[in-house]
Amino acid sequence: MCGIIGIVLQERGLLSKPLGRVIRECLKNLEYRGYDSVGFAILSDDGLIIRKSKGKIDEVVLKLSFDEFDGTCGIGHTRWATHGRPSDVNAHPHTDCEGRIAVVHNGIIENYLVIRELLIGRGHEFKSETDTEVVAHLIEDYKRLGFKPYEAFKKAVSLLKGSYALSVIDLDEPGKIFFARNTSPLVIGLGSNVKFVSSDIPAFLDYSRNVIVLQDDEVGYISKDSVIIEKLVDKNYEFDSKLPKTELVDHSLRIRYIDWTPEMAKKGGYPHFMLKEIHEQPQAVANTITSISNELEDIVKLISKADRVLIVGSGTSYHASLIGSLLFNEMANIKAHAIISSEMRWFVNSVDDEDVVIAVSQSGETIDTLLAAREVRRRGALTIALTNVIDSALARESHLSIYTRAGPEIGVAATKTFTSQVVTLTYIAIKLAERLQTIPEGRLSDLKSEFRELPSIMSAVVSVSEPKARTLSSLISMRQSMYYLGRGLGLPTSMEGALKLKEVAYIHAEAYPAGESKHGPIALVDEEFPVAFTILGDEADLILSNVEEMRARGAWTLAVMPKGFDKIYKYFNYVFELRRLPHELAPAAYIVPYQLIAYYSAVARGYDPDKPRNLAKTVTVV
Amino acid sequence: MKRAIVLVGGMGSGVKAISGGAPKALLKVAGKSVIERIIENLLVCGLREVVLVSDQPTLFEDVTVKYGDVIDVQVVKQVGSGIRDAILSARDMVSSASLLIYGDTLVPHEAYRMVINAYITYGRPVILVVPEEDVKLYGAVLIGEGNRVSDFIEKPSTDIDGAYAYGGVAVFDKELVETLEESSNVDEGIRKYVSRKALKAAIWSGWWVDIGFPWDILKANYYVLNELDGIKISSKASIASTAVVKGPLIIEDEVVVDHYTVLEGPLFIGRGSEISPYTLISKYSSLEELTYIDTYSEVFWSSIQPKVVVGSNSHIYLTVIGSEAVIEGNVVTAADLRKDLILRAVSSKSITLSKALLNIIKSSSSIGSKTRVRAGTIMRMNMSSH
Repeated sequence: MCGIIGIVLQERGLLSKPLGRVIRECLKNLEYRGYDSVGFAILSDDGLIIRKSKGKIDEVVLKLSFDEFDGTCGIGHTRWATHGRPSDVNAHPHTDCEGRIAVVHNGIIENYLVIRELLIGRGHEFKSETDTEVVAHLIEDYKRLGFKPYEAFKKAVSLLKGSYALSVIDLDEPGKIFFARNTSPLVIGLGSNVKFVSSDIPAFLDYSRNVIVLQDDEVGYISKDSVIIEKLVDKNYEFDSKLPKTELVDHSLRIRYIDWTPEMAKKGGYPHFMLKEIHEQPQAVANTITSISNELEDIVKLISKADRVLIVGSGTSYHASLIGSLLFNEMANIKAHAIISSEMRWFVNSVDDEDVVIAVSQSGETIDTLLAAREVRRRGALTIALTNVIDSALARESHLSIYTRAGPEIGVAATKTFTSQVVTLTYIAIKLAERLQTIPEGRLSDLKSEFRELPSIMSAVVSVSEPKARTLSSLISMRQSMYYLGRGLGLPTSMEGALKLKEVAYIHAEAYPAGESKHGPIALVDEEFPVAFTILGDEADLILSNVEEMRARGAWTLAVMPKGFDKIYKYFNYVFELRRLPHELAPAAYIVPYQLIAYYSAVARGYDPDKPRNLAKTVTVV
Repeated sequence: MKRAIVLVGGMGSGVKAISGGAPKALLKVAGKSVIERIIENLLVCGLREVVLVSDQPTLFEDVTVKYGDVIDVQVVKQVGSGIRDAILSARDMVSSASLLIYGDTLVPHEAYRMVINAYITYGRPVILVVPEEDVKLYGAVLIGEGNRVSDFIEKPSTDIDGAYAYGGVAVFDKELVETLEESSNVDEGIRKYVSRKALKAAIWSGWWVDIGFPWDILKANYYVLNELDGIKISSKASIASTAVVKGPLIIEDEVVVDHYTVLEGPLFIGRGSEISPYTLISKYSSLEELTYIDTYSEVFWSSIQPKVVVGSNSHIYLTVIGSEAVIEGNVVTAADLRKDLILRAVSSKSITLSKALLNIIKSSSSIGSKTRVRAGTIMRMNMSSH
C-alpha cells in the first residue's frame, strides 16, 4: 500500500503556506498507508523540482526541507515497500529520461517488464527497479511520436495491466495533474481555490470537503479551472499509435460533501482500527505466507545448524517468540529459548558464535530488542530480524531479515502483526522439521496442507467468535480481574490474550501455566472470578483437573477449545468452540477470540481501544 | 450522499398492542419517536433529503412539519408489503446511491457515518452488520474475505454459526435496487447481486436496538438515557422544594414534580407530566408527555408512552405501557423481579447488556395502548395486559 497526492492551486500562496508544506501535511495524513520512503515533485519557475528519500515522513521532510518549496502544482508520495527495498532511488516520484515528467503511483503494474524491455529497446534509460518508472518513459515515448502530453498519458494508461492509481505532472503542460485509476483507490477533492487528487480522502480534508470518488478505468486531469474525467472504453493493450477511445464523464452528480473527521475516514467500515486489523488478519497472514515461502531456505539452513537458538522480543512479540521456541523444540528438537528483550543482558555471558538469535519486533525500532540484538551480535551470534517494517533499524543491524507482510498497523494493541509473526515462526519450525526429518513424512504433509488453510480458518474463527465475544464482553467488562490458563502452546496464547485485555480494557489479567495455578494464584479465586482456559488439543485431559480446581472455588469458567470435546463442554460456563487444528498451528487461530473479547470489553467500558492510556505503538525508550 | 430512504411501513406485530396499531417508528424513546431520532442522526451526518416509505403516510405529517425547515422530508406511499416492496416503492428516488434505513432500528449516528464512509472508501454498496448471537430475531448476514457479503437471509429460521445480524442501515445503489426488482424477495435479490458484484459489510461494535418487541423499547431507553449528561430542567417546570433530584435527567416544560418525590436518573419526564407526592421514579425510566403518576407509586426502568395514568400506590417495574392506558391503584408489575440483581447489573453503565439481564428484560411486562388495568392487579414476569 502507498499513498499519493496531487495539488493544483489557483495561484501561488493561496493557502498562506508554501506548496511543499501543504504536500507534506497531506502525506502526513496518508502515513497510515505507508511510511518507509517519501517524495514530491513541484512545478516551479525554475522547472521541475524533485526531492525524495527513504525514511519516515517527519525525518525526510527535515532532511529535504519540503517546507521551503513553493509553486502552484505538485505531487507527492509515501511508500510502503512490499517488493524491493526502500531506497532513495526506488522512492517516488519517478521521471522520464529528460526529467520533464514526474509520476507517483500506488499499485502494481503487472506487465511492466514487457514495457520496460520494449522501452529500453527504444533507447530509454531506467534509473530504478520499480514498475512505476515505465509510466514516465511510456508517456515520454508517445510524446516523441507526436502525441500531446495528455494524449500521451491516456495512451500510456491504456497499455497498463494491473492495479494503479496514478498522478502525473508534465513540464510541457504546466498547471495540470493527470490522473488514472484502476483497482487502487483514488479520489478528487474540490476546494474553493485548490484541487486535489489523492489515494484517500483524509489527505486533503483540512482544505476541501467536496469529493469525487473515481471509478476503475477513469482517467483525466485537474487544472486550476477545471476537472476533466473520462472513461477508457476499450483497452486493447496494443502498442500502436491510435488514441484510446474514451467517453467524457459528467461528474457533477458525483460530488459528495464529507463532514467527518480525517480520523474516521481512514477506518473504512469499522468503528476502530483495532477491529479493522483483527478482521484483516486472514489477509495479513495470507500475504505473509505467500512472501516467506520463497525467502527462507538459507535462514532455515543456518538455524538448523545452530547450537542454540534464542528468540528475543518485547510484549506481544515476546509471546510470538515463546510460541516459536516451543515449536522449534517440539517439532525440530532444536534447543530454543524465548527471552524478553529487556532481560537479555543477564543472559549474554553464555552467548557465542554458535548461537543464532532471532529478534522479533513489529516496528523493528523497539529499543530493548535493538539493544539485545546489538549485544549478541557483538558476541558473535548470528542475528536474524523478524519485523513488519522493511529496512527498519533492527533489519539493518541484523545479519539477516525476515519480513511479515501484515501492512501498517495503527492500533496500539498488536493483532495482525502478532498472528503474522506466529505463522512466520511456525513456518520456520515446519521447514526445520522437514530439513532435519524430525517429523514423519505423512504428518508433515498434513501440517503443511493445514498451514496453507490458516487464512481461511482464521476468517471463519473471526465470524464465529465475534458475536460471542460481544455478548461476553458485557460480563467481563464488569470484572476487575481475570485469569488465563493454558499448557504448552496454550500458555503463550493465554499470555497474549491476557495482555490484550490489560492493554485496551484496563482489566487486570494474568496468564499462568494451568498446572502451576494451584501453587499460588488460586488463592485469589472466589465466587464469579473469571478464568479462561486455552485448550488446543490433547492437553485437554490434563487441564480438566485445573478446571475442576477453579470451579470448586466458584470461578466462572470460559474455554477456547476445539470442537469435538463434548465430554468436557459441561465444565465451562461459556465456550468458544473452534475448528480442530494440529496443535502446532492452533495459536494463530485460537488467539482471535481473546483479541475480540479484549476489544469488545474496552468498547463496553467506554474506552478507545486504539489509543490505550500510557502506551505507545513503538517503544523507543529503555 | 445526500438522500436517505427510511422504511417506516408496517406496524410490527410484536409491538402492535403497545402502539395501538400505529407504525412502530412513532413509538417514543425518551421524548423522541424512533423516526425523529433517525432523522436527527441523518442531520448530524449531513444528509439533506429523506424519503419515508409508509403504508400510512398521513401519520407522518407531524414529523414532516417538525423537520421541514432543516431537511427535505417526503413521504411515499408503500405499494405492497415486505421489505422488497417497500424499497421498490421508493425506487425512483434511488437515482444515485442512497442511505437505506429500517425505521425500527436505533443506533448512534456514528454507525450511519461509518456506513457512508465505508461506501466512499470501497466505492461499493455497504450494509451495516452487528455481531449478535440470536440472528434469527433479525436478518442474518454471512461475510467472507475482505468483508464481502456472501449471503443474506432476511428471516432465518435458526441461528447460523458465524452469521452477523443485519443492522438495518445500508447504502444501496441503483444497480442493487434493480437487482431487487428482478427478484421475488430481498434474499434472492442480494444473493443474485453478490454473485456478480461486491457488497461490503461494515461491522458495528457499539449499541444497537431493533424494535421488534416491547422489551426492545426498554433496551433503547437504557442506551439512550445512558448517553445523557447533566440535569436539564425546563424553566417552565415546577419542582417542589422537598423533591430529591439526582441526575442525569431531562424534565420538559410544564412538568410538575410534587413534594417528597425522589427522581433518580438517568431518566426522562416529558412535557406536561405530573408526578404526585411520595413517588419514586428511578433509573432508565422514560415518562413521555402528559403522564400522570399518583401518590406513593414507584417506576423503575419502564417506558410510559404518552397520556398514561398510573394510580396511587402502584409499582411499575420493567414495564412498557402503551399510550392512553389507565393503571388503577395498587397495581404491581414484575412482582417477582429480583430488583437487586438488576441494579447490580446496570450499575456498570456497560454499553452491552449482559445476556442474563437481557433474559430478564425479555420476560418483562407490557400493557397495551388504551388498556385499563384494574385496581389491585398483581402482574408477574412474562405477563401482559392488553
